[in-house]
Amino acid sequence: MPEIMNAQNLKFGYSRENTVLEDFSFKVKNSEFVGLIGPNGSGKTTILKLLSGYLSPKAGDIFLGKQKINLLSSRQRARILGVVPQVISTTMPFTVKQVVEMGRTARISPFLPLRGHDHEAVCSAMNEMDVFEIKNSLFSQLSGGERQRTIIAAALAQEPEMLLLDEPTSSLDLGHKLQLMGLLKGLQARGMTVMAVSHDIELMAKYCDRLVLLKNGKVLASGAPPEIITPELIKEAYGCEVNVIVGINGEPLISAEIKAAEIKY
Amino acid sequence: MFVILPVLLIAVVVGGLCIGVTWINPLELFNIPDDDLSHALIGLRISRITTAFTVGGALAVAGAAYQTVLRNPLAEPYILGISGGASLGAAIAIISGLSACTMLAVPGMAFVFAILAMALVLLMGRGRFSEYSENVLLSGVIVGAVCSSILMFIISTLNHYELNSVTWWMLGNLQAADNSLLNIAIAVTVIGTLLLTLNGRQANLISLGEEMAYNMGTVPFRVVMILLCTASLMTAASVSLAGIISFVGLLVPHATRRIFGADHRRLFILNLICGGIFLTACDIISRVLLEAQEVPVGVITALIGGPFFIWILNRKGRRNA
Repeated sequence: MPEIMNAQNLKFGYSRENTVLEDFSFKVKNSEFVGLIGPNGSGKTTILKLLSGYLSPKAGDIFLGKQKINLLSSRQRARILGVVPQVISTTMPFTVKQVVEMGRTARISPFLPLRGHDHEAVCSAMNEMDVFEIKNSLFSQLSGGERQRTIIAAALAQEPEMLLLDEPTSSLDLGHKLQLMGLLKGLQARGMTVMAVSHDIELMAKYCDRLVLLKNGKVLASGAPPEIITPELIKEAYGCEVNVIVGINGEPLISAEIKAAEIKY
Repeated sequence: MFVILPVLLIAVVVGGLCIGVTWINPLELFNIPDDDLSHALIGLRISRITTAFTVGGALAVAGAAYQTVLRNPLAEPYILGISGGASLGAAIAIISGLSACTMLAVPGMAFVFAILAMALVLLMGRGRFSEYSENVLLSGVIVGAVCSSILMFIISTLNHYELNSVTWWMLGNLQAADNSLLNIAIAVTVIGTLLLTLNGRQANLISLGEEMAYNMGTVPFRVVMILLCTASLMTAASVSLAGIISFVGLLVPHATRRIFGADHRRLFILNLICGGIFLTACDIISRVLLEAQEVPVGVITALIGGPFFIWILNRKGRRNA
């Protein structure tokens, strides 16, 4: 299957002395559901910002399809790539609907109002993320979970080919967490490529085709969830000993039997 | 509220024409006596209303743009050191004797120094991994503080007459020194507001943060520069026309956003109208508050603006969707 994203030999640091990534390469195939996991400070969010083009690498290239991401116009890029950042806040009194409508920016003329299909895409995204009922509420007054669902709805309204999500379930309750993961799985079935960064390893293992385990800005292991969620790799990445059991659907589950004294960060 | 705006607009225009030391009956506005004095009085008041409307509108629009880009509800048109730069320019024009040569020296120098301060702030704001708007905000505070320090030094060396000139300029004055200056300010204000309105959709995105704006398909740096430069030019034009008038650029955008919502595609034009109405109304009050003496309009904007601002903040009610 062709690759929608290909990052080659990326090097990045936030200052001249500091290096977060060194010779980092990474590929994502069309219609794949990839989970990026790893301990705090392993470079997950930085990688996501590099792959979205928001940060520029010191060396290396990122291809979106066959084109370098930095050669695409902002509108072309946003039609291919939808990104959901970890936290969004604003002091402006925008309603939920207005925020979701902003997702159509790359699809419409800057000076014309939304048209028929734009309204359909906005309504569909709000329905899918369960925010239609609160469409007239102020975004700034929503709970963390509602805000997160609104931003995901805005990214869905973009109708991208690939979705990058940074901790998309961090503020969601169990019901909305499972609803979101089910939705992402459904989008994948309809041809969308999905890549999510998360600390929820079990959830990622249940829904992703492939997990990429990171440590200190390097890929420690990449493969199907049962190959990655092993006591040995978890210990190497997170510095703690765990037991891994198999769930009813064959997904790996991490046993909570962890001795505090054994945690070595 | 959309219905009330034209009513308020007509009310302040009629009030501005009629109210003052010499009262004109509104019914006589269309039948002005054919003498030089009456014509001069009406001409002066028309010029004053136009100045108040232009300055108020420009400051309100600029304030709305700054609050959006800097994502800071306390941002106002002078935040990027523009008032500091302009005041320094005015003071230099006065102590160098340029103001004695031409009436345009003080506003001209104020404009030039305001633009220099803005350019310095925008250059200093360039950083690699932090958001441009955050750097610009800090740079603005620094440039403003440095300009104020130099101004204080200059003021400490002034004689009584020069000190009086600088102080009066800094208090704000809506009687335009020159019609060509007023025409330039009107042009900058109208073109600036239109340019900002055309970038309204991008301004909406920027208010969610530069990263979010980038992800949704804009070039944040370009949008931030358009908004900051346009707002700064409008501020510089209004400062050079009328001196420093505080509170309008902070209060009016807040009130307008609370009443009409946050969509910048219409917010900038609404700010132009509301800012114009507000400052014209303040100017009318400044003419009649004390008998035979005008109160600086900046004092009125602060006295009315403060309580009104608190009322707006506490007002409960839904905004337009």
